[in-house]
Amino acid sequence: MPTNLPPLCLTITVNGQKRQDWIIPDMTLLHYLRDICGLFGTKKACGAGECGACTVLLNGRPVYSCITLAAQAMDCQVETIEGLGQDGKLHPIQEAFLECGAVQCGFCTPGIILTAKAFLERNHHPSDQEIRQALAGNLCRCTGYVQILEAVKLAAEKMYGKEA
Amino acid sequence: MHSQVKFPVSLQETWAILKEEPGAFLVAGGTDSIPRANQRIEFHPLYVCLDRVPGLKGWSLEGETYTIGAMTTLVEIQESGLDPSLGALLQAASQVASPQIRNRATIGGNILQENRCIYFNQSVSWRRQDCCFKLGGNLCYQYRGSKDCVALFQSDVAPALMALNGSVVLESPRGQRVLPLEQIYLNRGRNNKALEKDEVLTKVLIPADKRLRSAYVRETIRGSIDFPLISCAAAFWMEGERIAQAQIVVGCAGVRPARAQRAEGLLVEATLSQVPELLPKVVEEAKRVIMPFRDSRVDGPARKTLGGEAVRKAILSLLAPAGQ
Ligand SMILES: Cc1cc2nc3c(=O)[nH]c(=O)nc-3n(C[C@H](O)[C@H](O)[C@H](O)COP(=O)(O)OP(=O)(O)OC[C@H]3O[C@@H](n4cnc5c(N)ncnc54)[C@H](O)[C@@H]3O)c2cc1C
Ligand code: SF4
Ligand code: FES
Ligand code: FES
Repeated sequence: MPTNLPPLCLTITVNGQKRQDWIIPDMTLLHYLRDICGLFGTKKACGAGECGACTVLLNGRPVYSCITLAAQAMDCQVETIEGLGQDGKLHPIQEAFLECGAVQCGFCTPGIILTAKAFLERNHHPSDQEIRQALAGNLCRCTGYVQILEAVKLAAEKMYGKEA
Repeated sequence: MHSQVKFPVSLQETWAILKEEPGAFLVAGGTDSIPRANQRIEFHPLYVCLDRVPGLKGWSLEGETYTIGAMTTLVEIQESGLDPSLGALLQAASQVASPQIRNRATIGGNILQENRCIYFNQSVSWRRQDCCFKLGGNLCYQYRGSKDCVALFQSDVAPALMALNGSVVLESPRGQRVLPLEQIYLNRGRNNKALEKDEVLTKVLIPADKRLRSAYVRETIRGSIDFPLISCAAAFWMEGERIAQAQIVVGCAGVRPARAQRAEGLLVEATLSQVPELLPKVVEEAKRVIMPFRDSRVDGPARKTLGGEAVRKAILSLLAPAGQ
């Protein structure tokens, strides 16, 4: 988009990689990740903080990237779905989602997996109710949430073992 | 059209920008303001982000007063370990919107959030030719015949702080002033915060009191992401089993949170065991402060009925014996 405003120099760490980019100052973190970093796993749906498709982790906590300015993530750590798999291998949460059939159209999936990651890192053996609360900011129009809940439970087991 | 973004590193620098730039707009978490910008409902030539102004985060108990920095996020409040007597604040902060929003949303931004209305807060393509009051015209689509904007104030945190006798510290080049929360909100749905253009909300103050117990209940359609349709913050100051003082504040009551003073009066001097008997009258009195405006999802009468429920539940949750 053309603008005659002076650009802003953003320094940021995305998926472990330090970056410096000249950006349009009021660009959202969502547009920065998609249009400048080319990370299309972060989805745009409502653009108004109402659905969770754009969720990324900002310093380890899930936020809606569509209503966060990229500039507000200056000098922060951002994690997107592309940062999860290592050396061609899926993250255990991604595996669990596939095994449980928790992905249909897939539009909500990156956001839900990232929310689940931040949650499971803090709570290794969650109850169903705790999982529901943690995922309450991510809507899914396809699955009906049952498989998603199952997948998060399976992921917890894969990552931290069964509760003693 | 694009906005410039600045990150002042002191209050002095913030004031200087606010003075020099007429289009400057303060941004805390941005969860109230950025969605409107994305929807093209609003445009500000300059965002002044408060992230790097020092001293605006965290809480402390100094003497008899809790102090909470304006840039403290709602999740930080939720996880703060603040005293359970501030239950109304803890319950309000932990129910706002969704986890993602609470991770960014600040307590200052919540108190100062814009009022909302079914007409205004929709995509601009649905706008009519004649502007409503909020857009500089002189009619209101939400409540025909109204003399001014009646957009609802839907904050969860503000009614809780009001019930707890909270106040805010506003700082400007002219110094500091402390304003009780009740006095921030003017009686209309637009431009309704009594702040000067160059005043920054730096702290929220709440008096600590051992005799206090408080609760917050909100009614929504969905369990998450939704704004409250109506809500109630209730606080009792106890002397033994007797209620020495009661404060009931109805959130989303209208253009500002509303104290239900007549309902409070019915509870003062009652013992906790007398409350269930008084409750139907208390609820009826409290419902009177709810304006009959519709929300984007339910009509005025439904908001009143749900409001009665919120008041009932909030008061009932205060009846458990102390320490339970
Ligand atoms: C989908 C969705 C659901 C929501 N649901 C709820 C809900 O259930 N309950 C609720 O209460 N809110 C809700 N909100 C509104 C909003 O997220 C919260 O009110 C939030 O606490 C606002 O805080 P913020 O820091 O993000 O505000 P911002 O958007 O940064 O600021 C809001 C306003 O306050 C001003 N401001 C902020 N900080 C200061 C300061 N220190 N000094 C002077 N001015 C300041 C800004 O200029 C702006 O006008 C919702 C929002 C969305 C998008
Ligand atoms: S309530 Fe306010 S914002 Fe809504 S239509 Fe009326 S004047 Fe406009
Ligand atoms: S696209 Fe960000 S919350 Fe919907
Ligand atoms: S799988 Fe389609 S929205 Fe969730």
